[in-house]
Amino acid sequence: MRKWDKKKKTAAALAAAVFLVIFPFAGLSDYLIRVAIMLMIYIIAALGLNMISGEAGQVSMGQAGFFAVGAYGSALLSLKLGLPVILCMVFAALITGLVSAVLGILALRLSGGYLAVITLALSEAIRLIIVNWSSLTNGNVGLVAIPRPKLGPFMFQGYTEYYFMTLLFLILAVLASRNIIRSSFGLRLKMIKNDEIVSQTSGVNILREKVIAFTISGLFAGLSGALYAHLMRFIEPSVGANVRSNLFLCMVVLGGMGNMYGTIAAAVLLGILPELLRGFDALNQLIYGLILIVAMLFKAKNISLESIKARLSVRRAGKPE
Amino acid sequence: MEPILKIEHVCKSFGGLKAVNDISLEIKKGSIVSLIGPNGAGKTTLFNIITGFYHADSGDICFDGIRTNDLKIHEYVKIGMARTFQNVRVFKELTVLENVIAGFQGVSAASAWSILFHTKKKRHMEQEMEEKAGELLEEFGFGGYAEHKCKNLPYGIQKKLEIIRALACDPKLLLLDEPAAGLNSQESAELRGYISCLQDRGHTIVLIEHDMKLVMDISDYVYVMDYGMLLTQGTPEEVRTNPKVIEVYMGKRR
Repeated sequence: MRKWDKKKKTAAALAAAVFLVIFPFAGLSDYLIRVAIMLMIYIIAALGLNMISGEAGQVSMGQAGFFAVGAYGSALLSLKLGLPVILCMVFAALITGLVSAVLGILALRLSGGYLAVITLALSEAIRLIIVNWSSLTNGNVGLVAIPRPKLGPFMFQGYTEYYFMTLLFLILAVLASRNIIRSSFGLRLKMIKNDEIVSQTSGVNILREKVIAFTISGLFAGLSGALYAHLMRFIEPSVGANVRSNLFLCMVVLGGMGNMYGTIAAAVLLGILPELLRGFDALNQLIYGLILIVAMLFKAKNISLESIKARLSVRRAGKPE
Repeated sequence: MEPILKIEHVCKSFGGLKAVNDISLEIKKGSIVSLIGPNGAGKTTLFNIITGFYHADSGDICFDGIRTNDLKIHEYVKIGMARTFQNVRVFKELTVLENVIAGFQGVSAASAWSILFHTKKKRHMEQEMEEKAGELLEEFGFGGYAEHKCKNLPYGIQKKLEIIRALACDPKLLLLDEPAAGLNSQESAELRGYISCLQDRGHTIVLIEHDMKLVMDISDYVYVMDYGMLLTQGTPEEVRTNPKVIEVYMGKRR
């Protein structure tokens, strides 16, 4: 049974890989490739948030703030210092990780609703700093002409190159995320989500583990923001707006709070919907909202991917144990 | 024999209520010691002070030669102290096996590097932990439950599992807060077997318990608390016949 599962998994991974590689060569418009890049960028940020909010159960409503730190960090490093863009992205992710570690040490003493509110406030503070520090960030005008990456003489002018670079980062993020979740550190996060008191008596320093998870979450958000900045080539302070934090949180919640593949699926769904709904003009927000409500209701009834899979495997096995 | 836990003149007040009032006691290494007394006598508060959930207002606690007054809750596992809770507390969404592995977390940890790159050393370590947890479950006859989620198990089994989780870090001292609460007489008898078995493994055990049959059967020594103070102490036989204890439990003879 397990062997068969493994075979199936490899097949699925292979199919996904083939699809992802040939996708940009299928003669699609730049627009579609750009949408695909955006989806991957969202997935990276959502995977990060899944670590702290999904796995460890500490709801953060400030993921967009870290997304903005990454976006501005990378854009400024490349504009002001002229460093190679890919290096700027990596640095920006590290800087964002550092920022989230510091803020995490402060904020993660709280939990539940209090943590949600303080993370919301912190991300808003980040946005306002970006607005007001205009000598560095250009304030509300934003940063323009953010360079595209260059590898030797090879300019990433087209979307195809950018697509593959983002895909590479995405694969790294997925693998890292998977390894972390499967590790004993991942188990400690699950312990914290289940029962903080027993985690502590089992010898887990819960503040430390939460801060590490929050740092990882910030690192992912920073990378995601950096990829966004160099894709758009223009950013302004609203990249860190609360709407985006809510979107990331919706992805994690819809994905099943601590279900990595669910989060990826939800990120794809919530990322692609606005594109599909473009034709509805004024109604698109309304329809988006309705779909979100319906999806959450189904989620509440536990019709997630996981449960469908479990139900199918039970049916196949004959009857439950 | 030398005491493993020594408590000297510990006091703890909540507002005007003296929950624990000048308690001194000694727990001998390798013994089973019971803490009894009516509800509200301060037994659980004393447990919470011993395990770091509360800090004593005054007095000293010495465990295995270490003064523990200022330790943080998560540091107790490392010095060899583990506890269970009055209301069963297991990780409900995790499997039985994961619950036991959870018990190892305080004593072994993989580096960030090894986690990120899923190194051979880390895999080896995790496999070892899984094997050790499996062995522990087998030893207590829980092997068949390993892959079950805890929330799906009956209460009695969850209670025993909680003890096994506490055992995972191989504590010198194990504090059990009402392990028999909510168990039927058969489960309670099984529990008695478990606790004696723990003593044979070399753990020292302190338990709070209302099941007098259990207390009198397995204890080497008994402390009786009432209104935050120590009422009396002695062997089960001495305590059973002590008129003060009978008065507390049964009321004064008119």
